[in-house]
Amino acid sequence: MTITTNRESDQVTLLISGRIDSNTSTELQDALLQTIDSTYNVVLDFAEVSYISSAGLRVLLIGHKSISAKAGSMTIKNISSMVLQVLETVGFDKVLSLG
Amino acid sequence: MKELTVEANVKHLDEILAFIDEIIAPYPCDPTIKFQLELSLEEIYVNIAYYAYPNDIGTTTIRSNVHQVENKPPLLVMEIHDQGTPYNPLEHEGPDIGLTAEEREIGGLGIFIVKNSMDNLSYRYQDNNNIFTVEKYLA
Repeated sequence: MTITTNRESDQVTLLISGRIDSNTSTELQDALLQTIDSTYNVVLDFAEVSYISSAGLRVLLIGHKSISAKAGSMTIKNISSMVLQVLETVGFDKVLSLG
Repeated sequence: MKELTVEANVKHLDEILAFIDEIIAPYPCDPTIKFQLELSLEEIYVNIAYYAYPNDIGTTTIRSNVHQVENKPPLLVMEIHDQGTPYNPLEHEGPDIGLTAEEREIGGLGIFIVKNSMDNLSYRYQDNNNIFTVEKYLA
């Protein structure tokens, strides 16, 4: 998994590429929480995310709770159908902001 | 039946996923089904790695095969064995997916995903082994 950060005015986009699993989720969590520390508006671009397990879902919920606590927003966009199916299975399509 | 035994440690995750990929390789398999297989195996294996052996380092053995039955798609069977704390994942209480994000607790989704991704699940405790069997039609 690789993470590319793009900052445009008050919005930070993390372009994530590869698999978000039990081995890579910690890296995503560190990058996401570090980003949330410095902005109120985070976009996770999932265009190149091929896989996500519960370890990754855990990070998404932690990120959502963290940025909501400071009245910011986190949006996940360009989600593949297979990754979306996982989000839907656990009801995250109803609680996270999907773009 | 092919078999792989590895230390129950997340660092071996790619090894066990490659093992299953090799078993299903001869069969046409929808990418969504392959995704669900990898996902379920990761969730089960990681659960064992984190919780089965609280006081020592243990192992996990995966036995797997594809059954061919006339007029039905190939059926992948995976038996996941460990010698850790007795634990029946089928008794795991799933999350309430109707709660808001603020009400949702962190974690607890792995076995819920497995239950919703596989076609058949069974558990038995035999000779000091947790044996969790999951089955999935490959088409």
